[in-house]
Parts: sequence; structure tokens; C-alpha cells
Amino acid sequence: MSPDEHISIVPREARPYQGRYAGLVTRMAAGLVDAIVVAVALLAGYVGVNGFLFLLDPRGFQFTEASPLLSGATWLLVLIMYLTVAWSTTGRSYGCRVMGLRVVSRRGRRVRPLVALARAVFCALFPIGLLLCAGGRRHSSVQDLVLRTSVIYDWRPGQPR
Amino acid sequence: MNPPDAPPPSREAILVFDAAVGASLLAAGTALRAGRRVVGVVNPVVVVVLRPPMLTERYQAGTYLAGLARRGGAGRNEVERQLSAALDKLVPAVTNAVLSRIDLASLAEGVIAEVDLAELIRQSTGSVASDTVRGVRMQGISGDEAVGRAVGRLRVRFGRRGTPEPSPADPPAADADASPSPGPDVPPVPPEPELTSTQR
Repeated sequence: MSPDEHISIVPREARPYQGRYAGLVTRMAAGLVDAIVVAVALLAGYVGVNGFLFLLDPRGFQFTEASPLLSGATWLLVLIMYLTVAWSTTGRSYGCRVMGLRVVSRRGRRVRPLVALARAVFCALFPIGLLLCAGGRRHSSVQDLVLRTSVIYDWRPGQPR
Repeated sequence: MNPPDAPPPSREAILVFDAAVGASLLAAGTALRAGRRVVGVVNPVVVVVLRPPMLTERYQAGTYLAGLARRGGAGRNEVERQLSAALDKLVPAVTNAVLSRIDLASLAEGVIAEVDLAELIRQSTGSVASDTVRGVRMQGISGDEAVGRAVGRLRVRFGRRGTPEPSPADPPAADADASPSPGPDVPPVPPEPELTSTQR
């Protein structure tokens, strides 16, 4: 018997759910957390760039103009890159980590980088597709159905199998 | 030190105890002085017996005793060496025999269950959440289940409207589609087994 079979760091009340398909509430919460994380990162970058410009020319410093369209496009781009890297490496973004979720392929393995990129683009541009995961046996969103991925409860640290 | 709620000892008891300690100290001092006096008297006699001045050093009892002590020391070293060699052969065999008769796995499981090793690991692992995050996750799971049940009921209701009324003999299919558990496909990660480490 391996040690994994005897010692688990997953709390007792969460063990029955490990490996099951996650539903709408947790996935929406995770997505919200990711969106906020990227927004905060962008804001920090904006402040950092302006601080650097202030150091270069304190007298003539003015805050750089941030157009809503450009800001939105940058936010989407960063979000897509962030989700792609997160899902293709550990299978979980920060939001997924907070909510105890993991994105895996239909076979329970780590998603490939191209699939992760396509899923990130799909999620960023068509977030309403997530609503489909409210029902159904596998709780699949539109993105999951198209790309054959799944989102499961997985509180364990480390890489997907 | 007495526990805070213990009654204080009586004054007579303290007096008797102090008297006993004083008597012991007096007796020890007397014995020490007597011993020094005896040694002072006996020592010259011992020196004369062991090293009589009329004999050459070779025939003195002290020389004989020193030789005897050397032989005894060498013998002791040899006995220690032989004993060590015997233990080197004996201990592994005995240990193996003992270990083969002990169920180490169940013993370890008992120890782990006693100290709740899983909880210790859980607390020392940063990746697993604090109580707050754990609560948020569990509430999320509860929300998922509630939404899944609601969607399942809606599906059943709309399904009944669109299809003819089933005969009473047909088994109801309510909520069959809303079950969150994995189906016949290979589940991505198997559910956690009930672990022995935290069984109580």
C-alpha cells in the first residue's frame, strides 16, 4: 500500500468530492477571482510604469492616458496568457487554487498547451458559455464540450496525473 | 511544587521533615570524618604491606598486584571484543526474527491515527487552505449541488411538458441527469478513499 492511500491532506468533509465534476458556483467564483487578479496585476503594472516615468522626469510627469478600449484589450490579452500558462502547467489558476478546482482533459490528465490556449481564448471571449455547466452529468461548459476538457474538485497540491 | 489547589502542608510536618534532613546531614558528616580517620590509619599499613622496604621491587606484593591488574585489563578488552563480535552476529538475526513477528504496518497506522499525522501535514502544507478558504470551498460545493438540483428539477418539469404523460408503471427518471458524480467514463481523479490515518 502506498502512503497516498493512507495519508491525505484533504479534509475529511471534502474527500467525497475529490475528482468529481465542479459546478457553476465554484467555477464562476474561480473565474471572478482570476479576473480580479489580472485587473490588479494590470493596475500594479500601470502604477509601476508611471512611477518609473516619474523618476525619469519628475517635473514634466503626467499620468499616461489609459483608454478603455486599450485597457480592455490588454486585460483580455493578459488574462488569456495567464490562463494558458496556468492550465497547461499545473491545471489551475489562482482562482482555481482558491476554490480547489483543476482543469484536466477528459482522461484526467494535464491539458496540452494548445488546448489550454484555445480554452483560455474561449473563456475570455465567451464567458457566458460557462452557464451551461449548471446542469448535466459532467457539468460541462461550452468550452469543455468543444475542447473535451473537464473541471474537477481537486484540493490536493501538485500536478495533475 | 504543589498544585495551586492543593492544601498547604501543616507546620508539624515541615518540622519533622527538616529534622530528618538535619539528622541525615549529621550522620553523613560523622561517617565522612570517621572514614578519613580510618584511611589515615590504614594507609601506612597498606603501603608497608604492598611495598615492604626489605624486599626488592620484583618480589613486592604491589608489583604482583600491578601485573595482575594488567592481565585483567587485557582480558577485559578481549572479552569486550568477543562480546561485540557476538552481538554483531546475534543482533541482526534476533531483530529480523522480532520484526517478522510484528505487524509494522498496523503499528504505524495506529501511531498515525493517534497523532493525527494527516492533520499535521495539512496544517504544515501551505497549499492547503486555512479554515477560511476551506469554508469557502465547501460553500462553493454546496452551491454547486444546489444549482445542479434546481437545474435538474427544471429539466424534469420541461421534459414532462414536451413529452406524453408516462404510464404509472414507468420508473421516474427525476434528477438522473443532474448527478454530479462521474459516469461510466473514466473519472479524471478517483474520489479520495476513506483514510485510515484519521479514522476515529
